[in-house]
Amino acid sequence: MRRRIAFGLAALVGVLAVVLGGGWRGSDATARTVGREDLAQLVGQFSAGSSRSVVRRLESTASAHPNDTRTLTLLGLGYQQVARETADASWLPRSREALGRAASADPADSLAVSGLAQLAVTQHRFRAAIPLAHRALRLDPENTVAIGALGDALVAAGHHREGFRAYDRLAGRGPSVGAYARVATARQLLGRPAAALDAMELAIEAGSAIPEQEAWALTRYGTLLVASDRIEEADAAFRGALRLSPGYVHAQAGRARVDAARSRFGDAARRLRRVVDRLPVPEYAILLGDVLARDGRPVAARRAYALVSTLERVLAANGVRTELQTAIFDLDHGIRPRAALARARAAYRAAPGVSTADAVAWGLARTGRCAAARGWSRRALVLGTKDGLFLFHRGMIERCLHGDAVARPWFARALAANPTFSLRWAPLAERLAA
Amino acid sequence: MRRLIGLLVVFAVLSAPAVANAHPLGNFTINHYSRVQPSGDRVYVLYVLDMAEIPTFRERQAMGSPEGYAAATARRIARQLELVVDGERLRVIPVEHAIAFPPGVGGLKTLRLQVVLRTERIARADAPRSLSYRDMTFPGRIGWKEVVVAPAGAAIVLSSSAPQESISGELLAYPKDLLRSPPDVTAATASFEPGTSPGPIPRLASQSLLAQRVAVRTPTDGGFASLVAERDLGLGFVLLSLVIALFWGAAHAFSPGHGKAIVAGYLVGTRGRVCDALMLGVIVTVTHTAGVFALGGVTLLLSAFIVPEQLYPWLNLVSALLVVGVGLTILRWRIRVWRRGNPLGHVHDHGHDHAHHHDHRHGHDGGHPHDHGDGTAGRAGLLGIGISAGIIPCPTALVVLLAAISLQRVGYGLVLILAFSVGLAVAVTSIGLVAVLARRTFSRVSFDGAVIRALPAMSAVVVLGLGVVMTLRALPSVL
Repeated sequence: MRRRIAFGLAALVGVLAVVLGGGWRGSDATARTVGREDLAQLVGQFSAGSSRSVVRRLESTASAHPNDTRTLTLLGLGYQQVARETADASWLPRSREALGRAASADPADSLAVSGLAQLAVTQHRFRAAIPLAHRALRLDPENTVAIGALGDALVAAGHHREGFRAYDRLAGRGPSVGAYARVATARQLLGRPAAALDAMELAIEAGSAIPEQEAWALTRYGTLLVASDRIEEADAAFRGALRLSPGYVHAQAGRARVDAARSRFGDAARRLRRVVDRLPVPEYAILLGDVLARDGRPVAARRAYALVSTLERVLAANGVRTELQTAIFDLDHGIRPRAALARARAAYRAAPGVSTADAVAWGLARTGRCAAARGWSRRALVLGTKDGLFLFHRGMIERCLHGDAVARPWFARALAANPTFSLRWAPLAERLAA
Repeated sequence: MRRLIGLLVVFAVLSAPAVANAHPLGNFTINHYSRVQPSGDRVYVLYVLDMAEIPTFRERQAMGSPEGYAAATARRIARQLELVVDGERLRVIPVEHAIAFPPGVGGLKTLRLQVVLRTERIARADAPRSLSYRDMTFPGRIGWKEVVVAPAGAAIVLSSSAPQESISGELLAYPKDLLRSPPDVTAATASFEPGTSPGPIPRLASQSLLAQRVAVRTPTDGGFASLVAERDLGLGFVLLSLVIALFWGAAHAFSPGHGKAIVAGYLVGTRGRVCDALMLGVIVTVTHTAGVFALGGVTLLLSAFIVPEQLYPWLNLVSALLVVGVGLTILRWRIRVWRRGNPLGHVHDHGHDHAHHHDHRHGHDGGHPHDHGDGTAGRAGLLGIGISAGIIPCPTALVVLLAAISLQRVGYGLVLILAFSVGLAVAVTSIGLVAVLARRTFSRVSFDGAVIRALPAMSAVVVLGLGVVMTLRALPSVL
């Protein structure tokens, strides 16, 4: 889920970068109703934090001019923006409807097609996203929405090299939050956390007219800082994000992470309860459960974990691919590990990237097939990613195969990569590394 | 072969994925609606709360008795409604409430609460009174927020910022228009004249209505997205499957199970009356459909009492095993008959009927008027033939229905069966009609063709295979 939010937000940043930078150079001849001035006005309204009213205005234009493809395209992108702000997936079918209409009415509308590509990324339909992004780029090679979506989809589908090339291409279009944030993601995957932080600093410097965008960049930066154990700076970043966008829920969750890293579990739990009230996503519900468990409140923790299962049922019923997150959660908690392993495999088939390879490795390890698990763990670490959880999983696999002595350095590496990589597993890693 | 292909195609059509019945507004919305009702000498508010699955789950985690929760929530809501008349905030007090937990997605519940609130008496003034209303419940939570102002009794609303009618059926049926954001209205202003005597109190919805699963309706005002509602099961698909079901039904008439129907058609033909042939067709259709519908009705009835999400996995398994059973029974009988070297498909042979249909069918046929072959069957006899030919849901029709159930499309399945029965009746009637028109030629035609004999054997294998597939599909959700 964290990845999903990150992708969603990165995609948003991509759109706005296009709109702001005027990077879209499509068929201006067709832009009758919505011209450049309207685009600028759109950005102005987004920046005032009233994306709903932008969307409403576009809706009324669209119902007055049902064949105006530009309005439909902007409406489709606006719906995605609202979906990201509220994390409410029921906005996504609206986006699909609007963009689908625009793209079928005007198949040469690069922006509409790239909007569909970006939507597919948001919905974790990576394989569908790639051809859409290519189509949009054939129509307009400079379409940055398409470049960003292409990179995200390629990385998620395990084509890292091509994906990173797309990110570079995006960054070559000029400095923007969306471009540098993606570069940071790539560096993070390549196991260069310090360089990733540099890229995030550039992203923040690139700045944006839209407070929410900057808040997002600061939050992402703070999350990377927590992973690098720079808790004070992380706290400052989250506070800065909250100043820019008061009540920004991801920054609130970030502050809870800071509390947890300082072992102030009670404060973290209080903060996370408010976060989960507003944004009930599995990632934060799991975090709440873990925090409550560490705070010695097993009953409350069980309640939070029950919410996770409920959320997963609902997401699955809505057709959202949740195999990856549900598999890891179930494996961590020993809930039907064989079924969880099957889901991890399904997730890998859908998006053969490093995270899904790690999930398969963990599933095999938790069902006692450590030799096979090792191969999958190698695949997860092929890029040299310094992810505490990946390294911890490898440690557990090595421990199962060769005992504590061989596993010890892996646990040490996991903790070195991120001393608070998991509230649930970090204490065990500390014990086993000693 | 046609039958085999028909079966496979219909099954493929049925396999089109059923769309999950999620809350139409997203699973973590909290939707609320107020009907501000100046009625007689008071202002009433009907407040409706519709919580989607996730918030409901969280509320229920901490809920004692639903009744206590409803009462406490009603009081809390009353404090968060601001009703100002002529600049003075009036206290609203809850007078009645009702709560229900309609089924939602994935076996989860949603929550629906209705509260009737009222103000103190408001005296009539010389000038109209101004009213402003603000719903401050659940701030910051996303959802459908709607306010209407509708007078009742002797009160008159002169002007209002809000409409008089709810566009969501008071949160019971949300209009589905993809290119329109849900309303976000939490306030209204109006000017009104109160009546001088008590007016009617807003009524709570009945408990059964309250407990109804939240619905989505397609707007009738020619809105944008009217086609979306059918998208998951396209019209072309449905028509194609209906045509296939029709043909399949006709082909089915030649299988041994309905041999009697053919004989009936033949007999009608030999008696030479067109209207008898047509009537027989109608009777066969009605009874054949009724038999299968009765079964489907029981299923639907069950699903009204048990949450379908909990019922379906088991129903799926039971239906799947039933289909396997039917397939095995037919197959066993085929093998037995084969070993005996008995001529197949002989329409007067009752051996196959015991196995192919249920045994009691034989009992129903008691008199076997057609077996006497003397053409003396009267109108009552004709009725008896028609009913006996149609009444027992034959395995093939059952397979269609059970497959539809397993895909949670019972209604669609019933329509298919109707088409199937019509096809069957058409075949029977045409035979009768042909017989009427060409009696002499027809009397020499034998029904024991090689193809007709081979059909049942194929059907046994197909049904068995289908049953196995259905079982495999059903097992994971039960285990």
